[in-house]
Amino acid sequence: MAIKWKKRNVSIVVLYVAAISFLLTGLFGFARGGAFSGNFRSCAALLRNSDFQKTGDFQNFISSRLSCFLRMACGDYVSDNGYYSSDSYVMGTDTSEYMEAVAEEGALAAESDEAEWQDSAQKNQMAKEKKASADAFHNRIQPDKNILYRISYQGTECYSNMDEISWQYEEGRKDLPEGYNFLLYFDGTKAVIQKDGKETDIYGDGIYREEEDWYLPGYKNYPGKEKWGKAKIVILAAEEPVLYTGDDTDDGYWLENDFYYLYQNYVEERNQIRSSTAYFCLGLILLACYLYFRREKREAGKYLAKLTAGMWFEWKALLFFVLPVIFFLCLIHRDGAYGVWEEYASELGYAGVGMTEYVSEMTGYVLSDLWYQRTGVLLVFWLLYLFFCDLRNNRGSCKNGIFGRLAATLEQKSFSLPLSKRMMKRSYGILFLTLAQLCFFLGLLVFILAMRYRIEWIYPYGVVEWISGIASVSLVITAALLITEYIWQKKNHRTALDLEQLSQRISVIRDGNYDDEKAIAAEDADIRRMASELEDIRKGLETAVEERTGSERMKVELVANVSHDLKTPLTSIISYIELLKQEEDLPEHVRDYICILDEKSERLRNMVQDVFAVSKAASGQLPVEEKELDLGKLLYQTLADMEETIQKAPVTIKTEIPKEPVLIKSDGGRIYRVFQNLIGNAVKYSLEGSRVYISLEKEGNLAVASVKNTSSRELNRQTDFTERFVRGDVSRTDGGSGLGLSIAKSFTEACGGTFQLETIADLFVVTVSFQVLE
Amino acid sequence: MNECILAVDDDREIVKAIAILLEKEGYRVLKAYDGMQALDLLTQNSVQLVIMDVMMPKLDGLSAVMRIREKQNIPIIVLSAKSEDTDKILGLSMGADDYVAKPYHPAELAARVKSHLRRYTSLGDIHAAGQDKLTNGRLCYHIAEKILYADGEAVRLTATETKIIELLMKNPGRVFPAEEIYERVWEEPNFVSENTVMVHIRRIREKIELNPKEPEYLKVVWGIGYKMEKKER
Repeated sequence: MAIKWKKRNVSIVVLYVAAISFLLTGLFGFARGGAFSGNFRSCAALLRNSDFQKTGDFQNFISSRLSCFLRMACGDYVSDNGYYSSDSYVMGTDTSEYMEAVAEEGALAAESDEAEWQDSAQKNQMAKEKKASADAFHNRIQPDKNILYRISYQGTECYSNMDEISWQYEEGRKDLPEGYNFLLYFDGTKAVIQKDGKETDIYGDGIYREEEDWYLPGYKNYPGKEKWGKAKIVILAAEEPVLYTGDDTDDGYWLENDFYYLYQNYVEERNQIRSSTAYFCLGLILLACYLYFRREKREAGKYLAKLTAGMWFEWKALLFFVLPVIFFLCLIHRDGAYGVWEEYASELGYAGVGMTEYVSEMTGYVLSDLWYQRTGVLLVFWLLYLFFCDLRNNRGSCKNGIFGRLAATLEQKSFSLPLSKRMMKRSYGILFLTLAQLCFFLGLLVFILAMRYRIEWIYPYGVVEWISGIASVSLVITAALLITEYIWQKKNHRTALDLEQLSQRISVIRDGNYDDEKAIAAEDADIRRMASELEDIRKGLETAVEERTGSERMKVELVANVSHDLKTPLTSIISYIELLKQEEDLPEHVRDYICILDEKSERLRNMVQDVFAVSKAASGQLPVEEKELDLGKLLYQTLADMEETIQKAPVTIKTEIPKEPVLIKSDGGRIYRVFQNLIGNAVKYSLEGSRVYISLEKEGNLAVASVKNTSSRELNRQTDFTERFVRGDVSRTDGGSGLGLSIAKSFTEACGGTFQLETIADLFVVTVSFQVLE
Repeated sequence: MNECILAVDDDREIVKAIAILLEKEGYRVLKAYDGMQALDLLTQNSVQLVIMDVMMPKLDGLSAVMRIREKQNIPIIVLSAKSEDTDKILGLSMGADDYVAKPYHPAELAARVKSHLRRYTSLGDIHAAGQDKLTNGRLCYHIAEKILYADGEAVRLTATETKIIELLMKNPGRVFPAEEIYERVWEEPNFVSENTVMVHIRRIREKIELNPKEPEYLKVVWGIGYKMEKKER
């Protein structure tokens, strides 16, 4: 059962760990995809859309190329400054940014046009430069066969990287070369896009909207330049771009493969988002499963906490909290030479409009960074989880540590102090802390006021007022707190003193001084009430104890008096019987009478003594002098002492007593009486010719002595033989007082032993046991 | 002999019985029935021993004992119906020499009276312990002669009994286990049971104790061994 439960538990813990891990991984992935920095839509689009050529990036790339080609065609300055160059590509660059860049470019171009007109002397020079830039651009991009293009101006082809591409594309021939599935044809006013053999309507209602449309000339609100009307451009895009490597020495240009990298980024991003989504969904499913089993999880948490319970708190805090947190901070810090935290801090310094946005962006950035260290982060997370699990489940776990132990020791030390002192000590701590707080605020206020003019240089106007205002309010509150606390503590102190009186009173009563009458002068009403109630209890106890002791004393006194009153006449009887016995010339039958008198008076004497002893023992007034003694030896001594009686009796004694000492602590004289009575009884009431067994053995830490004999008379099972004056025979004709077993029992119990009597048919077994001394 | 004994008890019959008993032994007996009477008689007569009951009208026995002790050093035997140890100790500390619990055996009382008188009158020198004498209460053992005297009278002991008494008298108060007594007296390893030693002890008791059933000198320390009780006087 336990193992089953354990297995189940472990599996639930694994489930929980997996669920949270997957969820977190998914979350990091989303962050990486830009979900937290506002690019949520693009993420959603990535998920929805598996076609690269439908992405904004692709559209922008093609638009940008078209714009460049148009410039090349018209002989304008071409400055494609590598907007999509692979190393400066930043995830999440949105369309608007790009649009701005393009607009700027356009303005620059326009400026240069104006300059052309103003300074005709430099016209040729400018044209040459423009031509050179166009050539350079063509040289740079033409080896990248992922994008094929053909540019013509006024019917003549100026640039192309196609081998044998005719203009047939524009006339509706639909089969593109193998590996290419995208065609853009610009006829001077409008562009036609043909994808996978189908023509796409790009203009719609003819109005350009930033969000969804291609940024191509031909809209009503973006008609394009007039001179572009003479240009014709064909662009072909590969379905799956590949990496082109060229000759390194080729004109000093290196192959850029912009398009390929754009595609790769897209693929990577898409895969990322997809896997993140998968992780996230899996995490959600697992979490749902876990929620179903969450009750067992709590058990599992407790189980986990039990594992960590034994550790010292400081170790736990270090291992599961401090180190993970440091590790986490290092993880975040590691990547950027420009620390994230510095950026955070410096940014927080400007309380600006875009702060929340900025923070969310930064958080997204940080989280996306975490994607790369997800294993480490998960480790940190789980260590922290262990720590908090421990905190939650192991109550008082923080006490199990160096500081906890120190505190416990101090507490223990203070336990030796009286209650009021302890209470005061605790309150001193609070008072001291409040005082420290007061001093701090006072110091702060003084500091601010003193440094006021210097601080104002650094911090904006108003901060000083704010801080000093807060400090003074805190100061006032703390002062009020201090005064209140002081008054309370004073009152508490008085209450504590009252309590101490009360506790002293309780210990006085506990010590058994019921008759000590003393009122408690408590100031606190509740304590006064308690004190008066305590007095009531004391009075009740006093009366009860007095009644009890009174009745006990009366009983013992009664027995003592009775026995005394019996003893005095008995003395006379015995004395005169003795005198009678010494008379010489008495008839024989008178001598017999005297003999009988002698015998009976002796029995009476024994009885009186026994009654006295048993009543004393029963009322717990038997003086007991406990000493270390050997129970085995005591039994031998008793047997030796009673040898005469035993030899006269018609029974045999069988002993089973170990030779090695069986040490107990008891009153030897009393125990002797016990065994004397027991053996005497056994000898007296045993069946003729039977055996009496006397044994002693150690049973654990008990020394058990037993006397077993077979009764000569039938034993009545209902009889309690230890009852006073009860005897095996009802006629009471033999010489016993009927107190033997009663004395044995009460003496045994007075000496700290246990007395047990058992009858099995006619077998009479008495067991007396004592604690063995080690 | 004719020593004078004062018997004091509020029970006239008891006093009478004591008187008859002791007069048979040859003592002169004065009778008193309360403490005051006893004190009066003591001033008028020369008394050698007092037998005093504790509970009496007018002046109780213990107070009377204290008053007697202010003037006289005669032996006093206290009789009491209280048989508890505490009562015994109290009586003895008040100045009594002996304590006999009621109901007593007349023979025991007579023996005690005899013992105390012998020590008080004829054998005043018994306490002058010599180098070859071991004295303990009423017992005195002469080492050289190997004879034990009880109240100045030689006790007839067998050779083994004498050895046991010598061992115990030399170490009063010390508890000897039976094995040790056996080994030191019989001078051979102990193979016999407790009985052998016990039998001898019992026999010695019958010879030296006034009441062998409640021994004063040779005591059993239950569960440990045997000892010779050390007496103050």
